[in-house]
Amino acid sequence: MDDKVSRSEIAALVKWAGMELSEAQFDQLCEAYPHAQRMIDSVPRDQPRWDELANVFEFPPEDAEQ
Amino acid sequence: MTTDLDYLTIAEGAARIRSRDLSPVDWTQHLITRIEALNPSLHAFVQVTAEHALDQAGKAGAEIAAGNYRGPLHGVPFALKDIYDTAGIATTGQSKVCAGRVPERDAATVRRLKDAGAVLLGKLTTHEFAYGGPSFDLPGPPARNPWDTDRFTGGSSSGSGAAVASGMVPATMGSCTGGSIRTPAAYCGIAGLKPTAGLVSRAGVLPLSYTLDTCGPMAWTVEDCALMLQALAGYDPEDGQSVERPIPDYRAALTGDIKGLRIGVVRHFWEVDKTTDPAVAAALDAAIGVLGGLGAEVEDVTLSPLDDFAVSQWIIACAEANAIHDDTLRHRPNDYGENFRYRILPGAVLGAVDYVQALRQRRELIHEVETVLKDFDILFTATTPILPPLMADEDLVSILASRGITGAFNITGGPALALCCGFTDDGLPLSMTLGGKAFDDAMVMRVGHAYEGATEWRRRRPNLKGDGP
Repeated sequence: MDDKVSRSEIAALVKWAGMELSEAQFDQLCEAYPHAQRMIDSVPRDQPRWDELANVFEFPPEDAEQ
Repeated sequence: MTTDLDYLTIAEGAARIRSRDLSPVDWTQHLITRIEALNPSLHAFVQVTAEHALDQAGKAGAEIAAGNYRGPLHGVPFALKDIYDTAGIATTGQSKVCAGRVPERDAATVRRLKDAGAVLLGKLTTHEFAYGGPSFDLPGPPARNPWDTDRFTGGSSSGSGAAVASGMVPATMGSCTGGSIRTPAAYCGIAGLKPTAGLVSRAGVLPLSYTLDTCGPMAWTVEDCALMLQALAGYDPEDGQSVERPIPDYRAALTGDIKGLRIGVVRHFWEVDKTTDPAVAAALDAAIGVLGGLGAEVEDVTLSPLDDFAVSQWIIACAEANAIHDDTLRHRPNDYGENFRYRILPGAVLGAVDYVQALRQRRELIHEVETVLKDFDILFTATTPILPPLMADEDLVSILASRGITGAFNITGGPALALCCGFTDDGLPLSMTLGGKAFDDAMVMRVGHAYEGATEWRRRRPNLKGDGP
């Protein structure tokens, strides 16, 4: 397991999420969690404040005028 | 031994139905017999609605005989991934969580296909709730690849890919959150279209991710995908993402002429960002050569690294899937298969800020791709960098760590078409992807259709145990 997050910290996250996992399920989550951590660490967090969320796609200008 | 009804495409079958050379009942009965022979080894169907299908086929035949021909799907059999609601027919998402669930209404797409006269032949294997897989702890076994039954079909529309490739049915519906139409299309050697987000209704389809899910057709040829999309496309107020747009004549767009079209090749997706099987890379280079030979102008383009798309796609999908499954995951975690639970649980501990940042990253990526597409008609890239994996090689850790190419077009929302671009020496299919501008689904199919017409790949079929009468 990644040494950035301990089992006790993951246990706290699970409790916060309101989940009750069996020992085997918790072991699985601990095994999978480093993958989530890598993803989370990879998300850019330096966007300008006015950058909004995606709306899936943007209409071409000619459509917006209609 | 095969018969002339094996492997009929929609276009071929429709022409014969229209000319009264083939009755919908005969075609449907033939496919039911074929499913009985092949499904025990391929596990593509979870339920065959034979009685219902024969009844619908009989009505279609009577209508056509009376001169009321509805169009190219009239009397044509199709099948649905088992996440599409079907009135009076169980729809479980292949999960114990939905065991015994029988919807009262058809999904909007199912209504549209039935309105076009198509004949529902049954429900198809899927990864649990269109996520995870291949799994052996679900209500049914995973589908197997018709080209090599020791290999994975790809997913999550696993039965949809296997059923078309094996000729059990000419057309199926898949769904796609990160590649669940295009990956099984690639591994099974067929065509699969993820339409533009908002073009095809998702109402009545078990959701996985509200902002990434897309419903689309899978068939042997691009032309058949176009025929399916013609019936499927259109505004639906019951789907919050649905968009009211003019619907073009998709089949008429398949002119075979791509002279002068500009194709941007996203080569770094498979040459730099992923480790790609040499057979895949060689097939992609050959395909680029074919497109150039047809008169297209081909040029390499650079987008953000694939990981940027993959990170955004994973966080959004995982967070939204957790929101959808929140209650049952909390109270009935044991009712999920191990694979689904393994994939989704990390999302339960994602933060709200992580999700919002991923959505903001998504906007940047959409803008970047739209800007590139101002100079090109379509983008070209790999569908998957690897060959269909052996079932035995699939393990939870490697599945979770793998970041596919397909998810990039779920992030953009634009159309993406996977189609066969060759075979390995061992007879395993290879695939390329054409991605387009939002609502220009006709363009990706135009190029894909021209490519299919210029190559021999659609003439090859798998050698199946149990094939024949």
